[in-house]
Amino acid sequence: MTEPARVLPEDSVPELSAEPQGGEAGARRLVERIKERYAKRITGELVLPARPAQYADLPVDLDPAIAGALRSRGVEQLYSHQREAWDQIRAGRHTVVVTPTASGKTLCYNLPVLQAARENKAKALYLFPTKALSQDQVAELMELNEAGDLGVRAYTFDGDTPGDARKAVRTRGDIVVTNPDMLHQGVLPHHTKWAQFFESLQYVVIDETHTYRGVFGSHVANVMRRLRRICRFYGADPVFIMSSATIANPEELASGLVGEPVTAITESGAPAGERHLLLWNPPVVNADLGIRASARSQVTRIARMALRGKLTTIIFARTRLMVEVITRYMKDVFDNDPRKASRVAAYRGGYLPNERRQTEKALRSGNVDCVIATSALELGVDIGSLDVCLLTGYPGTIASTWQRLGRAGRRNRPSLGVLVASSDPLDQYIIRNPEFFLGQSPEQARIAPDQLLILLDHVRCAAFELPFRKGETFGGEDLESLLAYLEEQGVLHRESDTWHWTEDSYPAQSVSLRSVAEGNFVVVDTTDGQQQIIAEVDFSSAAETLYEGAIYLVQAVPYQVERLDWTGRKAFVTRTRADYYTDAIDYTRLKILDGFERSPAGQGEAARGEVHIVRRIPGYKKIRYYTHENIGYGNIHLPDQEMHTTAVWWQMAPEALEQRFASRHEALDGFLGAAYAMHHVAALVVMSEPQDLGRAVGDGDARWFATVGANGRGQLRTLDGGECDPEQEGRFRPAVFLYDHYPGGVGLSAPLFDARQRVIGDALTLIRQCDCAHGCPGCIGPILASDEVRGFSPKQAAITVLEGLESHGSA
Amino acid sequence: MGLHDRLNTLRRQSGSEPPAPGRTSADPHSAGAASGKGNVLDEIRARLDRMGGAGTGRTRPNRTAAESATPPEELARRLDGELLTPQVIQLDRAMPDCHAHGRHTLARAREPAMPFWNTDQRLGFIDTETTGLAGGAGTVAFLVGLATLRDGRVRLRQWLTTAFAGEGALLEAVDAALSECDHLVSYNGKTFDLPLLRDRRRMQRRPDAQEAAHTDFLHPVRSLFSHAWPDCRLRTVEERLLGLDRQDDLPGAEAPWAWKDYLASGRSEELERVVRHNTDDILSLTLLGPVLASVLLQPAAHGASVEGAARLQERLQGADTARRLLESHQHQLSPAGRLWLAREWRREGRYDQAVPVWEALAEQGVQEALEALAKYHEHQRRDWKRALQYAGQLASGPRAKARIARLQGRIEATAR
Repeated sequence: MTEPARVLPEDSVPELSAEPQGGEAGARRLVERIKERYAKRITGELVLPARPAQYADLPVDLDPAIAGALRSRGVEQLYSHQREAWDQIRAGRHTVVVTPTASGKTLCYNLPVLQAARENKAKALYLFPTKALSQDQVAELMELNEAGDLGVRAYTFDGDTPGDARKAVRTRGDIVVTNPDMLHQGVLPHHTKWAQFFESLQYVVIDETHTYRGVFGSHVANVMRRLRRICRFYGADPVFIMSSATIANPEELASGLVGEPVTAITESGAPAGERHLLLWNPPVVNADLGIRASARSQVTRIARMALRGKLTTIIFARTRLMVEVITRYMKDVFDNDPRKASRVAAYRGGYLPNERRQTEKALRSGNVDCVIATSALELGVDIGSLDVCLLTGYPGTIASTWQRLGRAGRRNRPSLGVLVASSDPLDQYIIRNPEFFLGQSPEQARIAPDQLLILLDHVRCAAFELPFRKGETFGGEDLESLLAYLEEQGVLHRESDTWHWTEDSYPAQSVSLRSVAEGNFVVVDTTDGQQQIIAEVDFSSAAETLYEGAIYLVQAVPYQVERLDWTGRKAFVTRTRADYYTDAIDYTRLKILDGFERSPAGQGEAARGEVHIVRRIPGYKKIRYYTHENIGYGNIHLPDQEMHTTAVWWQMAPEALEQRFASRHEALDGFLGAAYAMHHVAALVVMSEPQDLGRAVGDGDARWFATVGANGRGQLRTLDGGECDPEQEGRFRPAVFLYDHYPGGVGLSAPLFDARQRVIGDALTLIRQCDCAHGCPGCIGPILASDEVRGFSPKQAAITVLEGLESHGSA
Repeated sequence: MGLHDRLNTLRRQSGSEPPAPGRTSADPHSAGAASGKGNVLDEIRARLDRMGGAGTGRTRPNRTAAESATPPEELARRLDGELLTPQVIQLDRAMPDCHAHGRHTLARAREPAMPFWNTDQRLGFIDTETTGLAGGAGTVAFLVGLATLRDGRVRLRQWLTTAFAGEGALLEAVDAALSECDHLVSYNGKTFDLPLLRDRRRMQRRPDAQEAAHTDFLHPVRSLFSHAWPDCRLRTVEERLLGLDRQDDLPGAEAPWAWKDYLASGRSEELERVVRHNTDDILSLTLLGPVLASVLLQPAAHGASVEGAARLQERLQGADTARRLLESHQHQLSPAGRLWLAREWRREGRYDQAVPVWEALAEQGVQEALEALAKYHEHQRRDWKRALQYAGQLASGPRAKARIARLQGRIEATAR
């Protein structure tokens, strides 16, 4: 939640009376209306002309039965990229296909796989990041299979596969569809049961490859190392076929995952309708404070226009909470007649699978006109094509923005995407510099498969699967030393040139590929004495959404959390009629453990090293609907979350601090404002997502940390929440910390340290360019009206801090 | 905080559980020195330290090879076996008929065990000890025991490997012995021991063995005794059916540790106990056939479930045998057993016997009995009023409704 807790007047411009109507050029008419009425809010526009299809002939060597199946479904020719994929894959090259949503990428891998299954009983393994995608895939494969009577057997193998069906999957499946987690925990550790499958394994298909980045991607790269090691044991050397959304480095990511060179196919031959993209900045409603109307209010306004114009619409919101709030607002307008079928639906992680399936189906069949979703719908779940896509705030990366915008777009008619900026600095930076977004290539997807903890986990798993022999390699670290380390731990036993697993346990069970998987929480509705599970919440977000007293929303229906069973992973809720929602407050404390490198930075220094972080969620705010006023607080009693990681920090010499600031209080405000700007700039500089980095202002010894208090000014607190006075502290060396948000770090702190001067410079530019007087959510974070009154500018304080840290004569 | 704990902390933070504390240990000096990579190891240890926090050190006690380490030759001698290869000890004993095992002697092993097997079959009683109970490719069978009956005598062979490297030779010996058997007998071997051996063959690139017939006594024991016993572990079977109380037994779950401790330290006392444990398991298996066969003849006298015994008989020998067993225990049957018997009688047209059973049960409102009587009076006796009396007591449902409507129709038609 980034909305300032203050009453905001809703947008004052009257709505259009005559709305554009759907149909052939409905989206184009909507664009014209928007530009006519809201010209000042549009900061950038892009029109991608319609693109005709590029065709290629069906390959001559394509099995006639498969060709027949294609023809029976109306496919007489292939798109050029499908044909190119066929040629590369048939030549035995690892291939990644990078083409937009709905460009027929699945045929790129299905054709060679079906052909090989019929030619020589070759087997294929399909990996999808989620179960929902697997089910879509099997359904599509089976349609083709039945259309051509191909006799190829495809089965899903996941946690839902019943025990008695598993043997059939292992021994009879030509195509086994699963996910990386199941491969890691359910297949590789039992590879002997899959011997026949691995012996004939010819293709490994990895769909949605771009999702395998960061920590998850680093784990998956190691699972692929293990997979290839097992394949070698059975004498197989499968070709990897991958598909990816547009990212800057698909080839690099793909070969990082596979461990070998991969050919990229990036030219799509699929046709596309005309596409419009508008960048929209909400109007300023308080010029002094630089406060803009919320992105949420703008998005609901545009959505109303689109829906009245009979254009199907998808709205993306950045948080589950925001999905629920917008859904409520849309339902208030369009679903207020209980006798009629619902036209508006919410879709997000945490809903039960069959509820999500129903929404997907309703979207495909056109029974729902508007869906409000989190990134859960960013992946290729089949929901058909929509006319309009609205983004509530910048999704954090360019790649993800295009991926979401791709949800609107039809082959034969125009579509519209609107990126509505929030007041976040990143959003404001992008919306004011449209060329940055429109001109820049999408981000790199980074993985760090040799991150020591991750690598060590998979060396353990690999040793269980097959003893390691001297001379083997696994990853980029010295394997023999890792094995010796595990031998010290008593996990492995060395016998001449071989290391054997000796624990009476199953290592894959204790290694989770996704850091969030430490047991999902279930939300249990106990209204009227029942006990019904209504949602699931993953571990990482449970603390901030399921605390006792929280309002938890499902399809915009409010439930209040009565009791949270932290160890049993259950939250008990009851239906309520609250007219407010709740938002958690988060304190972070940090301690420096070790410095790796340091360098002067203006009148201070920048350093990189190991830190220990404790995160505490002490309470929450109650926020009223529509007015967004803060109507109360509550306490939260939850265990602290701890983490060791790597960080970059900046601190100023005490003399310089005293010379530049009249009081320590003002200096503290300056550091908090600077940290806010630096965090967002840093995410752009290292091309990561903002949530991959954490930020904190504090004392390196963790004696105190700083937060913005209810009075809008910086406060020092000890970890137990007690306030302390900066003027009374003997030694005062505040520092801005930006840390890698994963235990042990996944390699973000090194590039960040290298870019330390640019972070300071860009943060200064961001703040200086901002139109506000004393600071706003677009530069240094929200400030309060009282700041003007007391004649102090937090914005100037932040600039003073950054100037003090700026190195002259370079950058 | 030690290195181990710190790694655990890191792993907890990253969303995974710390590994279960192992009980083995290794000599850290030999590990580093033998690899010749001491420096890199130190560096890696230091980096892992840094991620976990300050301080160094390791938590596992250093235990060097004990002075009492038992080399394989010595271990073979103590076990009264011989070295088959430098890493595999083979024990081969002809057990005397008079060998006491609980309240029985091994002479009992050659008694008839119908319906489980014919005495002319080449039997193999098999049990393994493994490095773990979780299964998966990292679980190894380090001890395999196989008893056969030759000229009515129990011959017990066991193969123990003293190193991972001995596994191939162990499997070769086991497979050669297994090829002499056409009927295997085990306790939970269908789901555990034999799949594990198949996995190990694949790991050693050995051909799969011929599938022999297999009697896994876990299932019969469950059918017969699960209603009466706290559990159906082999230990419980021995106590209750064989009169065997293993005073000095090493719990099966300790076996993995005993072998790993031998690998790490060379101490063999616990491993020798594992061999004795395996011996006892297999000797029990040789007696279970004849013992359970007599339970099947007189289930009630042994505290076994008659219905369970009948189910077993039905599967092994057919419905007639099951019916005869039920008939001979008519007065000890549960309602379900009585209904079953009545079904068998009806199938043979013996309504005179079936009807009293149904009538007794119908008084207690047993639905199947009510329905059977409604059918009997409708179709056999054509006494629709009686039939309707029974049908009227059936729980309402589409079938009951149809029956009632039909019967009422017939009554009306007769009245007209």
